[in-house]
Amino acid sequence: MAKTNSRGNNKQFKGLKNPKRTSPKHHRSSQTWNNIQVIIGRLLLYGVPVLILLCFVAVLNSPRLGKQPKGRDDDVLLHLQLARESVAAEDWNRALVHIEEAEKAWNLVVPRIQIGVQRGDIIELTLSLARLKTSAQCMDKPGCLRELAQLSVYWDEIGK
Amino acid sequence: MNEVLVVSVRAIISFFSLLIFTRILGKQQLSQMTFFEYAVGITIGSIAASLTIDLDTRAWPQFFGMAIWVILAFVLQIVVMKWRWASKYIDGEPTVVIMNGKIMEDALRKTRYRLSDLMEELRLLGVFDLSQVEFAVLETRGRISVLLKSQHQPVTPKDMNIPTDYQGLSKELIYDGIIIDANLRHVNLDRKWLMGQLRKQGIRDPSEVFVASLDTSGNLYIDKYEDHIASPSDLSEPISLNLSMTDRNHKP
Repeated sequence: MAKTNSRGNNKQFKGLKNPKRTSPKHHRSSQTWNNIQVIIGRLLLYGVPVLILLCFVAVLNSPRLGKQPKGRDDDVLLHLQLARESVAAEDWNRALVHIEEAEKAWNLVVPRIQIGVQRGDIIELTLSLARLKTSAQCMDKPGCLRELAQLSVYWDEIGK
Repeated sequence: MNEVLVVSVRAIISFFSLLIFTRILGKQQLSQMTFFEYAVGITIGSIAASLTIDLDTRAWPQFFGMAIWVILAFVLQIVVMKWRWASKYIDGEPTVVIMNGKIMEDALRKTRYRLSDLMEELRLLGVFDLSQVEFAVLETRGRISVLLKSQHQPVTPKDMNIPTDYQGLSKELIYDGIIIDANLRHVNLDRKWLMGQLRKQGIRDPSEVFVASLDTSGNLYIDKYEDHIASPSDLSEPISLNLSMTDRNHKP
């Protein structure tokens, strides 16, 4: 018949000449330590994968946060708004300055959102900015307004 | 856009996600899977690959899609485990293909299992003579289980009324030169005892030991890094050499 060891939960490892002898107090403390180890082990076993998956979810959804401006330099929407006002007033020099600032802001935003968004969306927005700039250089008001409207939609959709 | 950087980050995400998801789905081996489970595994892997290199699709929907597939597969596993009728419907049922020593041709036809497949599976199980088989069952995972006729079944200690000792799992006490204290505690032993055992075998330091394990009979198996074998036999001998030796042996 199978024997059990001092803990009563295992089959006996037979033929051991020098089994470790422990006092009841020492046995209790080692049991508590074992329980703590088991709890820590379980936390690591389940907690670490959950934490990793949550990190991945955060990284993949980072475009939502990444496109929010941290200051005036990377505020694409603000510069596009100012460009729209300048185009409406047919102040082309001012419009070009705002468009270039929008481009710079966009270049600051791209590295923050590139992990999660489509490559096509980034290319489309970059091309749209280039078309807007050319339209402003040609003083083409309808073309500028069309591109500005498109840019507004692209911006709303990116990283959604 | 730095495509290499994006692909690298996405690869890390999909690699570890796949690792975690497959661990959630359990330890089934390829041979234990049904065809559907196999297809699910391929689909999940395919989504992970797409998440890595398909930069024309947003990463989040792909990750979410992969998670949904894993959740569905997990739910299906639970359903199959809890409800027998669901298990019957989803996994199918085992089919008896040899009954009382007779091959069930209709059962083979229904399961689209060829006689040659059956013979091959039997040979893999060490059965080369059909007349030895009493029952053969085609399991839901596609493997064959065989019950030999009683006169062909191997003799066990129980048949001979021979008493046997309990045989459990052995515990590794040293692995790669490092003492595993948790396992020592589990068998109510300590480092002092282990060092004593090592010294008896002429080992001064645990770092000399590759693996040491204790079986349930109290025998300590020790394998050192230094094996002191002058020329270990090599199974990867050139085939041509083997052939020439065989030819030489078969010369009249």
